[in-house]
Amino acid sequence: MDKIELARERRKQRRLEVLGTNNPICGTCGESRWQCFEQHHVADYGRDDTTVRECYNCHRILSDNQRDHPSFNAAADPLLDRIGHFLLGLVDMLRLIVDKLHQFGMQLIERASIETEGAQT
Amino acid sequence: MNAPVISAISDHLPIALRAFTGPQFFELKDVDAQPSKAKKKPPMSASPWTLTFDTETQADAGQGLRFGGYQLRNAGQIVEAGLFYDPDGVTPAELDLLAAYADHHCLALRTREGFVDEIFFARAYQFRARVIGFNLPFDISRIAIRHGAARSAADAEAAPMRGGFTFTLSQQKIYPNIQVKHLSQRAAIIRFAATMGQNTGRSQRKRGSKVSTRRGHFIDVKTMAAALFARNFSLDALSRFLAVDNPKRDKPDFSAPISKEMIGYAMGDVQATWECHERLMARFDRLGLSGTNPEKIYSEAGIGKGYLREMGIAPWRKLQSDFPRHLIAKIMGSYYGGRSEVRIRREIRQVMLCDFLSMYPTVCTLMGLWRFVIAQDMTWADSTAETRIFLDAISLADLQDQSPWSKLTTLVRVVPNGEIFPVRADYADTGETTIGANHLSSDHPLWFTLADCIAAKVLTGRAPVIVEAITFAPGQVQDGLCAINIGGNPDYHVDPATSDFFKTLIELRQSVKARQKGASGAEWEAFDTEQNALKIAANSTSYGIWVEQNVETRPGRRAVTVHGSTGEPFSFKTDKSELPGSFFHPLLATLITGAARLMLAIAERLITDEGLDWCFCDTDSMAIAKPINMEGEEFARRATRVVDWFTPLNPYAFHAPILKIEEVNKRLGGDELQPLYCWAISSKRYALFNLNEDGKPVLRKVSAHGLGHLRPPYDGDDPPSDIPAPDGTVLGKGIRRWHCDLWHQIIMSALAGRPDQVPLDYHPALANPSICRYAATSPDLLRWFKTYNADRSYRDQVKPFGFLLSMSAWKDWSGETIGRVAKAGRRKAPKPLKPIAPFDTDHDKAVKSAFDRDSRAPVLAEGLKSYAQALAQYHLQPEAKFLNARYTDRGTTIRRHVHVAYVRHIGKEAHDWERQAVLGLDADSAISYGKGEQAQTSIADSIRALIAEFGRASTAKAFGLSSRQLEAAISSGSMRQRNPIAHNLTVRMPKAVNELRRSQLVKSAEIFRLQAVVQQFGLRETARREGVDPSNLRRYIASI
Repeated sequence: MDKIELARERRKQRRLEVLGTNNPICGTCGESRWQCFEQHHVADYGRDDTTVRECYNCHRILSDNQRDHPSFNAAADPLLDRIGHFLLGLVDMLRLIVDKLHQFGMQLIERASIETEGAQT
Repeated sequence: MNAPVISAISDHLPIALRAFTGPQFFELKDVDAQPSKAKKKPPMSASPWTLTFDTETQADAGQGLRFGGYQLRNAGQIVEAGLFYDPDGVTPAELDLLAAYADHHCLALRTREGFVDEIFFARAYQFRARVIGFNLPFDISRIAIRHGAARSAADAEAAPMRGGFTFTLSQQKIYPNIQVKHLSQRAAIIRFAATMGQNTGRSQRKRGSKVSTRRGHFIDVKTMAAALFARNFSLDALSRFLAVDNPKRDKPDFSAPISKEMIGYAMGDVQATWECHERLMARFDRLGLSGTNPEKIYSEAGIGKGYLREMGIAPWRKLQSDFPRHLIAKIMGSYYGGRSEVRIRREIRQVMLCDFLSMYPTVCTLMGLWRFVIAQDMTWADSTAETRIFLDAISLADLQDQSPWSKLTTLVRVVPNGEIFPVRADYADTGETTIGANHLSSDHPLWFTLADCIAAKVLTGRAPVIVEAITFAPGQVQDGLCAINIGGNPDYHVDPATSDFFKTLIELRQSVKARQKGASGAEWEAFDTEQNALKIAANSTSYGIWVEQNVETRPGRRAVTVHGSTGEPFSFKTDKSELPGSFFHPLLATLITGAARLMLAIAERLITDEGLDWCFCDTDSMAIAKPINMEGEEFARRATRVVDWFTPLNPYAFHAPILKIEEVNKRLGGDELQPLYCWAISSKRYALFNLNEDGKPVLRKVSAHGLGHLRPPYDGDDPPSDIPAPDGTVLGKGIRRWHCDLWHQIIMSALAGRPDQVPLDYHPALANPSICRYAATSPDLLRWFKTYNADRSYRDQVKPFGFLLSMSAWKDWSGETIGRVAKAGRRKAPKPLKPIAPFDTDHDKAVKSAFDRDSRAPVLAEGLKSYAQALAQYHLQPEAKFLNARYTDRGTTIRRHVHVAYVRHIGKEAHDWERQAVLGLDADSAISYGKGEQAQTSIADSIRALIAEFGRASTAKAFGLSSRQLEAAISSGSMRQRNPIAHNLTVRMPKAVNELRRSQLVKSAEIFRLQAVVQQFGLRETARREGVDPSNLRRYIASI
């Protein structure tokens, strides 16, 4: 194990420790490379501590979507406000999953038709 | 059966009851007012990396590192294997050999420092690897460069590493120390200490999150094997037991220079440790305890807790945290351990040894205690009237039916009046309390289980008077329970909500054992593994975890609130803290042991009714004895009737007796019964044997009680020539050849009609000084070697977890001088010597370096007790909890009749037993919470009563005080203060009462004698003969 491998393994284990898992998987797209992960606050940062592991790309999309959520209201009931934002964050994630599933389904259909055509020719 | 005659009170003793403690009332914090704590992430499991290492040391006192071997693996594949060495521990020639070996076998060669910095920390620590070893505390201490006592906050309520060691391994300050806390001979907590500086970044701190300290992942293969198989292993034994590919090799001579064989042996150890680890992990995974971290398993109890967690069972204390403390106190006050007694002592009697089938799971099932385990809470209700009716009505025949057993979830408050109850007291006046089933009388009511009251009725024929009774009932079943497969086997499916877990486990085990009987070879092994897993699951969940109390010794005394069962809570300052375990549920524990004692009481009654005797009983077994004039066949018939009586109580689906005749009753290698004889000294010190055609004993089972701490005086390959070798079935499980030889001699002496004189010259090694070996497992033990270590380099010092040797002093010859003029005044009593020595495999060398651990003065070999001297009274061990059980007494022991002088509240009894077994009783180690103010007032009242009965002068004399001192001590307020006289009064009370009563008897006898003389010769003549004044004589006689 040379110096570079050693340093990389050290970075990897430190990162996995921060992520809290030995086998990280992005909940929305299935990415599993340890270098690509961040913790995403479902209800937005500062509103609730619940986090999920997301890859950089998905996290970027989800965080951008959160910009469109209702802004902070100091007069609002904090508990209801938190639950509401959590649900909005959950919907964003599910939307991504739905898109992903749709995309995956279409790919399968496309592949199936190509394979059928290949078999006929 | 006729009710036994209750003897007169034989002892006025303080009895000890278990108490429950908590923090002072004023210290209870307002939960709402507490600031929210920083959130911690749950601990992560280890990465796929592992580091397995082993060290080889010098065979001298310091046991310093010479060299070691390691394997660094990733996902099971070796990434680097190598050797490491201490530059100060090897010669240049040895280093050349190590380098050549490493080169030839493609191994890395590093110095100790290189191994620690580059492998242990730069890889194992930073890669979050699992660190694996066999007896890891020893190996960690060998690669350390410094050690100290593990630190913890002085006011911390729970500090798991308190009393442990901290080891510094690296000079690099970025790397953490390692903390090791010894728990038992089998287990230790090992973890990385916190590193220097702040782990949590400022932004994280602002957000209220906290980066957890990396505690590491240490697996001691020895600990895991002990937890999974419920027995101790050496690496050699374990590697053979698990049938690994590369078992441990034969040990070379470690006092010789390093050789190729030695290096190969070291690397072989690393490989064997790794393979054992793999087998154990596979076995652990098969248990299906996905929610349990194998690194946190320290005993079988850990497995039991894992099963409960897997079933989704929440601990009772968590669900019912507001359960009244006064009720916990009553439950704890009624708690006693298993019954263990000797009845026929030091007499050869033919016996039939019987034991109950899984006693604790069986009584759990009979009482339906699983309902309590899965309940959300428990309720309680006064049941005084119903319980009185139940107790009055119940008979021995009723107990043969299973239905009354489910009604035993009741605690009762009774005023004992001579009935037989478990009595915990310091019978031998040594400071150590033991439990004996004795007649008990008390002026104040005490709490017992209903089972104990029924046992009292069964044994004495009369029911105790119930003052109060509380019956407990389980609440609703918990939500979220889930079914599991025991041992991961779908055939052993248990649904906790619908079936009794204890019952199912025993039934499954029985079915596996039945199949095992018809199997052979690998199939037999597989069944054996399965039945063992079921046995451990049953035993680990059916008792110990319910009464688990973890004891810690704090650096200073702190006030705790003591909740006793006999009065109001009171404050007491102590340096001990008792922290209940996670599944603490004392009601279950007290009901289980109470019911087990009832089983033994029934057995005792049946034995007596059949006209038989019994030699001893121990928790779940009883040795039924044949009366001397009874025919063997008749004895077997009657004993079988006793055994059969219990069969209707079998709660399981299979048909089998729950009191079984043990295999040891059968002929060696056969199935037919053979007369078995017993020689019992005390309840745990006995031997069972057959007699051959020559009338010589053939040992079948012997106890090593009171011998296990001694180093063998001779090896198994150098036995005494005139003592036959015992059968292989006798040896093992802690029994060694020399234990058998000692028992052989004891029995031979008994057969020869001189049981008091056991010749201990059958082997020359018995004339050598007796030696005990123990490990320096805590800083206070290691402190004995402070002076020894002072002028030595760290490498040569006696270090933590190194072995120490201790001896017993026979006589201090060093103080004996001739012709010295005695100094004026009272001669000081000589302090007993406490000889110890640094470890040495050569006992002769060790004896020469022995010194007194208090004065550090050398102790001569002539002043040390030999094995023969140390064992001289082994065969006479008294059983102080009974009468007629002193050293040379023989025959049937007699139950004492104890009158309660006062109640003492105590904590966990078996705390620190392992160390005390080797080093003797340590009064500071016992957890005592004193008597409470009510008891103190009661003592003052008792003394006033004694003064009224015997007079002030006599009473004061009995207490060793002047009348004025006695009066001042019992005056209002004084007894509550911590003054030494008040304390002495408490301590001397039982003896003083006995002495006053004895002197009263003597005086009465003397007066009766004088009355007779006066009647014969007249007052004046008698006075003249006695040399006293006639008026005084008249007054003396009238004083009666």
